[in-house]
Amino acid sequence: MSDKVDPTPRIPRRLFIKRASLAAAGLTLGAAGLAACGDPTATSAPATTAASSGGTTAAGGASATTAAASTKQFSGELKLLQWVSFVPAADDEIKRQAEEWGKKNNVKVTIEPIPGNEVQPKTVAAIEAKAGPDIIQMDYNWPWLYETALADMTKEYNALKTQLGGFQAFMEANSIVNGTPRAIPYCIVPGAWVYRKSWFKEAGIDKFPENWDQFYDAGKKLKAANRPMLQTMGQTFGDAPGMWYSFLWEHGGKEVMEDGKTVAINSPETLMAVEKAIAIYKDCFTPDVLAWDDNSNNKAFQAEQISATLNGASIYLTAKKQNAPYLADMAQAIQPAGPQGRAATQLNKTHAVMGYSKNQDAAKEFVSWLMQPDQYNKWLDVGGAYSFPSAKLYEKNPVFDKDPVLLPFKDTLAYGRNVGWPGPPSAAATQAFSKYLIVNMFAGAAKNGDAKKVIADTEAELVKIYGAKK
Amino acid sequence: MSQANPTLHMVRGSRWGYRVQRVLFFWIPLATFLIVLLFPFYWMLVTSFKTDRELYYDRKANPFIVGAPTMEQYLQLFEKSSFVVWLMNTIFISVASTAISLVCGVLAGYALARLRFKGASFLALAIFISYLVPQTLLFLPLQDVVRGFGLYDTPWALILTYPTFLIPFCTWLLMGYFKSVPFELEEAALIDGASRFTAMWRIAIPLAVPGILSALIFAFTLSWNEFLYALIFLSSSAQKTIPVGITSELFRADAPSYGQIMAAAILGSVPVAIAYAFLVEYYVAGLSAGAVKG
Amino acid sequence: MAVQPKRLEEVFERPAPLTRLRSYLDREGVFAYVILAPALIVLVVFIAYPFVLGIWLSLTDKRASLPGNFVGADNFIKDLQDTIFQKTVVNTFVYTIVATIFKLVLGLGLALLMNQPFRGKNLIRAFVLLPWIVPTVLSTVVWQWMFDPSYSILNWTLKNWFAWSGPFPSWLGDPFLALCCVIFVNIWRGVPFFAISLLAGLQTVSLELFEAAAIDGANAVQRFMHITLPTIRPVLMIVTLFSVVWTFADFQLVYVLTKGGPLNSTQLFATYSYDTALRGGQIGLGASIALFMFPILALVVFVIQRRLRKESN
Repeated sequence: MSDKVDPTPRIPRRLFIKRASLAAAGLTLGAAGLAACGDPTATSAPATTAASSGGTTAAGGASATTAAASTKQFSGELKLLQWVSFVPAADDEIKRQAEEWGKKNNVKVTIEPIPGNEVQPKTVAAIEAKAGPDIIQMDYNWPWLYETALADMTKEYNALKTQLGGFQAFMEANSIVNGTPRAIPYCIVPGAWVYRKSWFKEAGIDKFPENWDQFYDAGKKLKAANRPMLQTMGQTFGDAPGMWYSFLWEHGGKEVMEDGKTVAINSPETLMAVEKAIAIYKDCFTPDVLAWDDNSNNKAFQAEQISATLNGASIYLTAKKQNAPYLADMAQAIQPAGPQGRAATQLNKTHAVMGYSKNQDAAKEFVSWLMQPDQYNKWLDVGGAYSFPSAKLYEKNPVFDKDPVLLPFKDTLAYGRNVGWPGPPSAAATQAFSKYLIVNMFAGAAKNGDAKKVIADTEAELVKIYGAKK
Repeated sequence: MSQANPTLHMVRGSRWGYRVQRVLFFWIPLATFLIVLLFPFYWMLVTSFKTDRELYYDRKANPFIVGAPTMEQYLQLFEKSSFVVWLMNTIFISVASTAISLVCGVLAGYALARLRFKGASFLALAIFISYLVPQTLLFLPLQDVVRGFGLYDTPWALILTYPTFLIPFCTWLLMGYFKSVPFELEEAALIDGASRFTAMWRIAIPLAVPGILSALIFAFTLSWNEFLYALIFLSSSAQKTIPVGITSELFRADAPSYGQIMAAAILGSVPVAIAYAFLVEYYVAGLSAGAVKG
Repeated sequence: MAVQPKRLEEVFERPAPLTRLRSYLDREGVFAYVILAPALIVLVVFIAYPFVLGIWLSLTDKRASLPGNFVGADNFIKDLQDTIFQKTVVNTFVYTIVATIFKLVLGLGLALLMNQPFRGKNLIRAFVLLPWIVPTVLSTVVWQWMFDPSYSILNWTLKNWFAWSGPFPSWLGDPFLALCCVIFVNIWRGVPFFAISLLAGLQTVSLELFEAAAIDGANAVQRFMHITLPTIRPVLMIVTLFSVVWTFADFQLVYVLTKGGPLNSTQLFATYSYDTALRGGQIGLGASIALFMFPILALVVFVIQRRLRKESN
């Protein structure tokens, strides 16, 4: 599975290059460059001192993997592809940690953040090229979709599970693919509504809506006051599924049955949800939301154009950092409930080591090291309650109680579900997610107003993916 | 270059009428075109010299002018991003792929324009058609080819694939130039015992230099401009070109970062703008030669 | 290995091997292929071979990280039944046709303006070409900034100069408006290319013919239709051909501005192929979407080529 790049396939290319006699000057230079890029790990590494790794072990507590690492020697390079976090300080911290680990282990570790929406295309491109980042930070249950391209993480997973008191159940389900752990659960980014208290009061709304009917009434008033509360209906990785999968579930709709095979989207419950979404779009939203990505609501809130939106804690944290004039006016609230109570699609992230990586052992060790208390707690602190832990041990970190405004985020954790619920995590569920079928169902209906037709279309698309219909 | 104009030559009538006509039917439309075509560049420039506060929070100020000019966005760009690395990558890739394409294009253009051989017309057509094969048609299979050669995430993935659209263009453009070089000169040299290569090298190519410069500036701007292959075939930050670097690394998540993006867009345009300023005549000549002689 | 006299003579009679090779290479037919070789190798390896490979990919159900199986024309049938694909086809045609017509008309208009004598012509010509010269991605991010839902300068202008009280146009949010915006930016970028190319064509218009027609009493419109247009027709067609191909296969402008959204209202063949293959991971299906462009483009090229050939005869 792992594609050890040996020099043999390079030879025919060189021959071919030589035959292109007239372009020789330019192209031979190319071959030299290629050869140089080809084996970045060729140089032998000085031995890692037992002392430095030992230090980590001592600080990190009784970690099986880390202990084992003190005898291991690494070299070469590691690249970790991840999203650009909404809390820049968290990215800085992980870069610092990468440097620290890299220095100790004689590995050049590079963290490469790109916009969240770009991570998936880059992942597929890398898998197809059988080259690229050694570690990819995946969203939701991507490991299911790319199972065969990922390294087996059984040993590391089990060691961490024991050490850290277990992982969140829904993240465990995302990471263990057909019985084999393919990724290490890293964190959860929960969503809650952030709103302007005074603007709500001025519009005659006392507190944040508890259910979707109240939400509709409030939204109507706020739109009339030219301070709408908005949430994206666009094709974007975090905020859109966070809103619309939950909205569907809270009304009793679901894309598939418990078997994870039988499509169940075409139901009265779905129809109810979609019709309510149409009303909300028409009377509370503006067309902007159809094109919004994950950053748009942050910007609109900062520009003081909207009164509320569903997001991670980043809008509040950024306002706090910048000491924005409206900081004191901000509050957070849990997502309104539907007829079936509450549900939440929590954006969650796992670290997967790629099967093509030439430095898999180092990658696995690094990923495990990131989970150790010294690193992980610091990273949580810097994040300021933006990211929540995947592992039970870290839930007690005081950062989550520090700022009372952010407490609602903690409450949302109880409602976490996977895309594809109530079916088990599967490649099909991720496929449906990647095509934004659920989000587009709501957006499409909002735009053209024909709930039944849009649901039928979505059903047809889902059947193509899952294979069967109720 | 400028030629007496036929339409206005004909306009007769009072001086006054002429002036009004000139303003109404010439200056106003021209000014409209210029404003629409150039406003985005003005806006780019203005944005890049503003502070974040002025860009996003100050709602009283006139946005069309800079209240308190600052270099902050540029400094941030250099400090916080790998812009310089992307710039070097883009220069290297553009120069190398332009060089390869020019060498191939000059030779192929010469052969197709001046030599008689079996299959010449078929090859000329094939090259014309391959120019019209868009990058977007082939990016998926090309990815397999790039992997096969082990080029993924190296500059060579682009240096070797950009010629797929540069060579046909250079060849096609240069065919026109080579056709216009008189055959007698070369024939005389051949009779004097020069080899074909010498005749080409010493006689035809020097006479086609204007065409080669046109091809050069075209190839350079096209490689500088390329986005799709760079987006797909490169992965690490240290390998990116400017267009990909800007779209993938400068958009911050927590707050807008248009100041830096505009600064990067300006700096990323400067090299092509300079190349173009020096070679604008050749660029226009190439544009017309390409268009006229097709 | 003693050299025998007879052989020596032979050697002297026949040219030395190196000279023989040289004279062989100097044959017109051989020399042509030798100097064509570098170009041909690149084109075969990086266009012809990928093209065949692309057809093969489109006939498989290949997914990211999984090997593909041959499925015949399944992907193409799936595409045709896919509502988003149908939308993509319509979008691509609308995008290409509308943008090309505008570029043609506006480009011709600008070329006619620039064909007048005026001061600073060369400078203005250089500036006019800027939208075309500056890398598409870099100029498109400026448009993105101008269309930004929170900070749009267009909305600011509407509000402060035209007393628009809202709701403000959702430039990239409303599906129809988004398509208009994408088309507009394409036109903005393409007009200079048309204008400068056509300007070159205009400069070949015969002045004598023009003056003769004026003396015969032909008005400006007649002169334009009967003298100017026929002269620049070949240029017009070549420029249109290029523009149609580039616009039809466009990717970067849409990718930066809308990513095909909202609701796939700006999805083009290229962006949908990218989405399907690299976001959805359905490589085979994505390849089939891209390949749909080929017969259409081939037809356009064929038709225009034929007309051109007819005209030149």
